[in-house]
Amino acid sequence: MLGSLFWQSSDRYFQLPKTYAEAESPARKYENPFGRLVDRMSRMWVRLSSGDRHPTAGFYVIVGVVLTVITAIEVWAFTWPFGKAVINPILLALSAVKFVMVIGFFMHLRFEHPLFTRVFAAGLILAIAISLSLLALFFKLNG
Amino acid sequence: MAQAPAATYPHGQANLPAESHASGHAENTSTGLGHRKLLMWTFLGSECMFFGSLIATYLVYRNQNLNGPYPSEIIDVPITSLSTFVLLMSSLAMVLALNGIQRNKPRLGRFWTLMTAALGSVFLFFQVFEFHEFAIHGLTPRTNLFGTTFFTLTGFHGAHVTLGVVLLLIMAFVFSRSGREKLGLVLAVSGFYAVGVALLAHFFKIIPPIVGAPAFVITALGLAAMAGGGYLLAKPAAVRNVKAVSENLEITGLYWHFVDIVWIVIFTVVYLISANDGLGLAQGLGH
Repeated sequence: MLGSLFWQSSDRYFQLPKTYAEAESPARKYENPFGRLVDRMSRMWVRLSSGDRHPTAGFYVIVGVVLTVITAIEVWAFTWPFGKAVINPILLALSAVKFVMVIGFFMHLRFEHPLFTRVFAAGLILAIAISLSLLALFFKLNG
Repeated sequence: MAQAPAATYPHGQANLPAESHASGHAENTSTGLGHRKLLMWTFLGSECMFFGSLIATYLVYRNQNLNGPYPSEIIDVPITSLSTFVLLMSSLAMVLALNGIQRNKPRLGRFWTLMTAALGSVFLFFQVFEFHEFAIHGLTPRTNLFGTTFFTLTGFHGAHVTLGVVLLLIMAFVFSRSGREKLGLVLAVSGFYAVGVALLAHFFKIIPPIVGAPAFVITALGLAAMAGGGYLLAKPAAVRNVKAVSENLEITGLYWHFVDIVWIVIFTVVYLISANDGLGLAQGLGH
């Protein structure tokens, strides 16, 4: 099950249809762990995200609304009467979701060649590694 | 001379003409991908390291202040949430601009490009307001470590937003073909900035000479210029070289969205997580 969830085809991420033609083709069996439900959802996804070749304007508006809702939840979470140990990870997770959504959909990485993803991910991973190293170094020095 | 066989590259692409996602603009490259777009993604990867270092530096010096003002005293989360929303919407406008161009609707593309620049400018107005408020409350880059790291981080981000706005305005100008459109664009943009600066100056007393009557005169002139510019832009001629413009707009859009994702991180780390930071080290030293 997990294997099929994270399986990556040769040039795209999940083994889900990306175009109308693919989605409507009965010859191709799509790998997914949840059977018909995922097939239906993936078809809906295709209709939204691949009008012909590019996602539709409506799809981008939906992404924008979701980003706004997540931002509102972040600001709301900021007021929750819990400790930083609870709230900070939630805030960081919500921020990461927004980050990935903008990169994946607004910057088209989901629909692009994987080389773009790898080039950008290389810089991003290096940046995270540098940041964590710097933090670890200073926190160690400061006790 | 016999021609060498075409080399085969990963993903089965052998010296194929690169086809941009945006424009379908053909370009012969060894990877089959557009060089300029690949360059932009590489540049954005390097920018991650740049901003990552600044954010890490901010976190390292968090709660290390010997004197105030402290974040809990001056950070205004509601105002910054509003500016964050504005920047998010500018990203939406940017992608709608590209979508319009890709669907061969240049007027729509130019409208959303101008909206992106306008929303980016509103974000910058918010930042000017915030910096001014902080200065009034005694926080400058020289005041304490919070001031130094905060202004360095958000200042560099603001500089990136400014560059993005300039690029977007250049793109909108490139869309325009006739003198009528160019005049309309100049009028609309200058009117918008006149109104923005006048309102900012009047309500927040940032520029003392532009308060009261001068601010209202400038606002009225700016609104008139915007209306005139909008009228001239309402009936545009055909856009010149849509495919090339589309690819340029896509690359500009990548830069703009990157500026947005950097702010997503800054908003969480600097504003939401650090907003309640108080005395910190000063408390430990008995200040």
